[in-house]
Amino acid sequence: MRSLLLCLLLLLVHKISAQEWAFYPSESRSQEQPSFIYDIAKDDKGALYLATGQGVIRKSLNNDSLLQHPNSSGYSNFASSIYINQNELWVGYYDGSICEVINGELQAPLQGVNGKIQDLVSLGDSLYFISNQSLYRRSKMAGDSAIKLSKSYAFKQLHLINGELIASTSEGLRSITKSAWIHNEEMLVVREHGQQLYGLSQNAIWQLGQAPKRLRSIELDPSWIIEDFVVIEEANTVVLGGNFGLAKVLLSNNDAPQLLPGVLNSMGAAIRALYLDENTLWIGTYGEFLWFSRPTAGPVWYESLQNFQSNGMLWAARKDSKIVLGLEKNYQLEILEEFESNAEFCIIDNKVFVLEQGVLRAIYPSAGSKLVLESFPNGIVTKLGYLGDQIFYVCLQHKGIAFYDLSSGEKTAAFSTENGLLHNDVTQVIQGNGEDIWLLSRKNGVTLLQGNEIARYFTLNDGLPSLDITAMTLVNNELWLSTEGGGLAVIDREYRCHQVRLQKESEPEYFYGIGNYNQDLLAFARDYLLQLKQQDKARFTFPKFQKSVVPSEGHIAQLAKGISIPCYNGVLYLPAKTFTEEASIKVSVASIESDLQGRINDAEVLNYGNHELRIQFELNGSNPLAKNESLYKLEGYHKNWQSLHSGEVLLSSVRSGNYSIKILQQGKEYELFSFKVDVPFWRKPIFMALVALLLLLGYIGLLRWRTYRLKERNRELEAVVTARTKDLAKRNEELQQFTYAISHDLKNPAANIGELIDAIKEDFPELDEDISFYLKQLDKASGKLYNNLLDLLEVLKHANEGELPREQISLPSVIEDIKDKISGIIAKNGAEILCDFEAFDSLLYNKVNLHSILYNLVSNGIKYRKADVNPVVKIKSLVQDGFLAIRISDNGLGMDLNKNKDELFGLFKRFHDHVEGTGVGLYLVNAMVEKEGGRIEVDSELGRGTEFTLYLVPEGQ
Amino acid sequence: MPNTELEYYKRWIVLCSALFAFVLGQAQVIPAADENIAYLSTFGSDADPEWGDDDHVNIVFFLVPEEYKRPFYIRIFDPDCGGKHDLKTQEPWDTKTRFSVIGGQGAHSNPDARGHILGQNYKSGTVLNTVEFGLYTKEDDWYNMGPFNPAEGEYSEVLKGNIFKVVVEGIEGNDGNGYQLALSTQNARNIPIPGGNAFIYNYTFRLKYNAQEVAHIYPYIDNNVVSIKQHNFDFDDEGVLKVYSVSKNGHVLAASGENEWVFSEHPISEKEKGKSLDIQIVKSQNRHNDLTFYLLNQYNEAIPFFAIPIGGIPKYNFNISLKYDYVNKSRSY
Repeated sequence: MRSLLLCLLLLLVHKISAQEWAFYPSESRSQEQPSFIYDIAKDDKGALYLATGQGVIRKSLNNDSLLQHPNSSGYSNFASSIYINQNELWVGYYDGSICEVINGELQAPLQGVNGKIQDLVSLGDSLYFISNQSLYRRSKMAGDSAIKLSKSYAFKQLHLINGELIASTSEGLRSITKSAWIHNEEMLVVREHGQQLYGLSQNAIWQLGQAPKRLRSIELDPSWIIEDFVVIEEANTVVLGGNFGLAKVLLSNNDAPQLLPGVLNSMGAAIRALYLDENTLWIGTYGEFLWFSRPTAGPVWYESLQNFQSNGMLWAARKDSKIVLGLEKNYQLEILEEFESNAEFCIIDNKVFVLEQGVLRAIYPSAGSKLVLESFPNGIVTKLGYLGDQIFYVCLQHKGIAFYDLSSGEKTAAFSTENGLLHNDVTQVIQGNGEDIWLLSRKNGVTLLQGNEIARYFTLNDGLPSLDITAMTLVNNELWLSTEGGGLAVIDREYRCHQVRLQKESEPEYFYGIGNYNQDLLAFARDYLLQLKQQDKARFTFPKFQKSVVPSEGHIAQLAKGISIPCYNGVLYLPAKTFTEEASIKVSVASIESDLQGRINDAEVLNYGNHELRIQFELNGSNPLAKNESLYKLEGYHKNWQSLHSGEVLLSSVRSGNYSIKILQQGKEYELFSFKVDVPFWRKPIFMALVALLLLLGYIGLLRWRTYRLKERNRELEAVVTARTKDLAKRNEELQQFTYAISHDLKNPAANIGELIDAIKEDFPELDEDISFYLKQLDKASGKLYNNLLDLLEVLKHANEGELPREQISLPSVIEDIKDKISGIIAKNGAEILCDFEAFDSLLYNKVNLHSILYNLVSNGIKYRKADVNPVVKIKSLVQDGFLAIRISDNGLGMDLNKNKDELFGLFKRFHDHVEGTGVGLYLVNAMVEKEGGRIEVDSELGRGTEFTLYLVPEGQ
Repeated sequence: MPNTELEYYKRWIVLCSALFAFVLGQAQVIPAADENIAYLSTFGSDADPEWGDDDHVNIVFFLVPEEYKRPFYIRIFDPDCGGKHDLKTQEPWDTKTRFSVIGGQGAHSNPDARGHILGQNYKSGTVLNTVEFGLYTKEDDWYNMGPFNPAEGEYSEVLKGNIFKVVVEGIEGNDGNGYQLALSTQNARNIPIPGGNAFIYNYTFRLKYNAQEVAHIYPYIDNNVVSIKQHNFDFDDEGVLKVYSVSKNGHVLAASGENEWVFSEHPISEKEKGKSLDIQIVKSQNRHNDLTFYLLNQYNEAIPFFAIPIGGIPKYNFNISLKYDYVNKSRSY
């Protein structure tokens, strides 16, 4: 019995031995770096946290950081468990301490107990943890101590499901929250999947809950120590990890666990922790650090399968000298049957037909139908196939192709070089639109059959880029071709041929094959698969297997959940998720550091300066194989988008301005981070306002200083002026006194001279004529001297007068006095004086001055008369410009004001010499009027008379 | 005959490598080949001490040098009790043995862990793995515990490595379990860790069956030891116990009789410090014999026995000084 089981096990191992799982190391690591992983968890930003002997490793797609306590010693960095839930991240250590991680930094440790923290959970304000197989609780406050929740059984793991704390113990699963048993069977390992608990006991796999459900029985090798497991629902599979490596258990049957073929098990790695993140299985090893696999999206290599054909889920291939039939199941190719046969085969309507010695036979699911075709010896038939409407074709080596009616078995058509085929080597046949049948010759292009007739050839002359065509496929009723040396080409619905230009120049010209998956065009080259959608294209690089995967020429076979690519010595099966899953790489900013200010935060305002920024980008995503094609730009710094090749970017000379980090992914742009570098202080409004204020204050100060200086200067000048005025007044007074004394003293001698001359004339009447003449001249001169002295005295007298008394003066009476005084002159000259005092006839003025003013002007008007005209002097009172004015006009000689205006009121200035005068009159008139606060306007013209307007006092005074 | 000279050299290289691996592999098995001891021995908890096991517990320490940072295994040969390597005291086989691998703080530094008498806290440290064996579960085969991370042991500044403790307890029954322990980098065979070692303070073991077989145990004498006191239990007066060192050439030690403890005290010379002693147990009968052995220094602290003797297997240095008396015309030694 045991040997039978052993044989069965060997058979199973043999069956799967060809299926190698692709495992990828997360990175190559040196001997000194952490290599033992105790726990794996993932935060909401997509970063993995690994508990290792050297500390906690925070890992993203492009960046690792080791979180360690500074100045650590002993086991203080030996992380043994991690708990992540929403925003909380706690780490349990080998020495019994517990730390929280906030913003990627370890906080001060909380002391748990003196023993390794096996597992921990955060619930409310408390932490629950297992150490030395006992359950403890402690608060999250520093300084508190842990309380042992004493039980007689051993605790293994803790789980938090919908807020309920559940512990896996040596006696089963117990709800700590409800203090009730959930399941009374000891579990080796319990794992959460979604909000569901799964358990692995010594002999079964369970779905645990209020009503535990036994999913399947299991018989484990006694030497296996199960450390962890994950449930892959899509594949209906459980993957076990432990000291044996990795094993797979299908939930759909009770088969024994199968060790997963692949490099990890080949190298004998022990597995300590597993974590399933969408389609990526993270594998924490003991000594080999972190690996990952893509169990439902990763490619799988099937060795020795050749001539792979598929029809939905059913597939057939040749393996060595056998025909192998299988199903696509759980994202893998499972072998159902193998037949010892060298015959040709093909899949038709979920049946596999073989053509053996001229007999066509269905071998799956039943060997019912038989159809005898022409007798084709083995080796002549190169390809069998099936086209719609019961058309069956046979490609013959060097003899072309023959078509049969599947129901009758009769040959309907045959084509070879003898009836028009360009080459007998037909490598692929596809049914196109309507009656179109496309035949591909590897070296001679494409032939189109329509209605059992050769309709067209497509060669270089028809636009094919190369005659070396490796495969063809029909997408949206267009025939796409992959070529050797010509890239891709397409024959459209109008039968026009086009070469397809790919965007990148680096794309190869040699495509090994082509196919489609759900009308998405796929082509593969030496190292990768190219997916061409309507708008964009994606690239998937073939994984590195232990055995090199080298594609061979041929079309891509399409299955329900994936495709297969023909390779040398095998087939590469690619689950559709491999190339349809979007590369959802999430870019985030891990840190930005300025050389001037250190680490900066989002929306921070940096001081003004010339910053050098070190930006650390972090990439996260569930598919580590996804190619990062994100672009970034520091708005305000870069003009164009930059490639995000590395996670670290160094930007120098970042000066004042507003900046934001933007990411461009698949045509979508979003902002990650923003900051501002401040303007210099002298460009800040407050500083500018302060400067303006200071300038204003300075200006005001300057003004006040200047005013002060002016006042000072004024005072000094006033003092000087006062001193000088005083001196001048004194000198003036002395001069006046001197002048007055001289004048007064000379007046009497001058008068005496006249009297003496009169006495001489009286005493010596008979003086001769000459003496008389000279005496007459002397008398005349002394008289003039005397008059001049009188005028001079008058002037001096007027100048010395102070404030003159004013009185109401009647103008007509003053004029009458003047007429009396100059009645002789009036009579002598026949003069006429006309008065008009209608405006006013009296005013408040100094009487002597008014009399003197009017006397001088009236007498001048008569004295300076024209010889042939009787003088007329008009006197008129008027109110003008707010003044009480008197206008005196005559019809005398007049003056040339253009010549004499400036000297008009000068002392001793005379303008007519034919009339006697001293030139003092107008001077005195002007001096008296101005002294009283008035002014004089003169209008005169030679020969037409003169008009004086005296503005005496302001109206109302 | 090899076809070519290259083939010839290749064969030699393979042969030498295998020999080297064999020698090294033997070196980290306890009992070691040089000890010429059949098995470590632990009796079930119900066994009478007269069978040779005074406390039903063996505590073995493994030293992993600090330079070694790869996973390793602790392997147990014939961990079950019920086969040709075990001793049945009465029908039927009923003994269950528990093997625990312990690391972490206190695994070795705790005085209870390395005492000659089993202290209350002898399982101090962090239990890394525990496995129990009964009857016919792993007969005549190696069982792997691990892999283990070297960093999970207790670091010893003196020994420059991480120490792991294996506690073997007879938890049920009255039969004697004979077994071997090994330190290995692989789980399929014994590949030693370079620089690794194993040591034990209270050594319960089974002598080889045949008369005249000589077993060796190698205590290490550090610089502070001035005298040793050897204790042995239940040797059944079967043969003689001798000690060899650079300055002791077969000093006879007190040997115990049936179910009794005896001890003898011996001074340590300066030359012996920093080296190992070779205590030889010489059998005189063809029979199974289990006994317990421990060694104390002048402070009554237990002295470890190393599987690989520190400083190598000691050889007595003959110190012959020739003097000639010219007066009496005679020589003296």
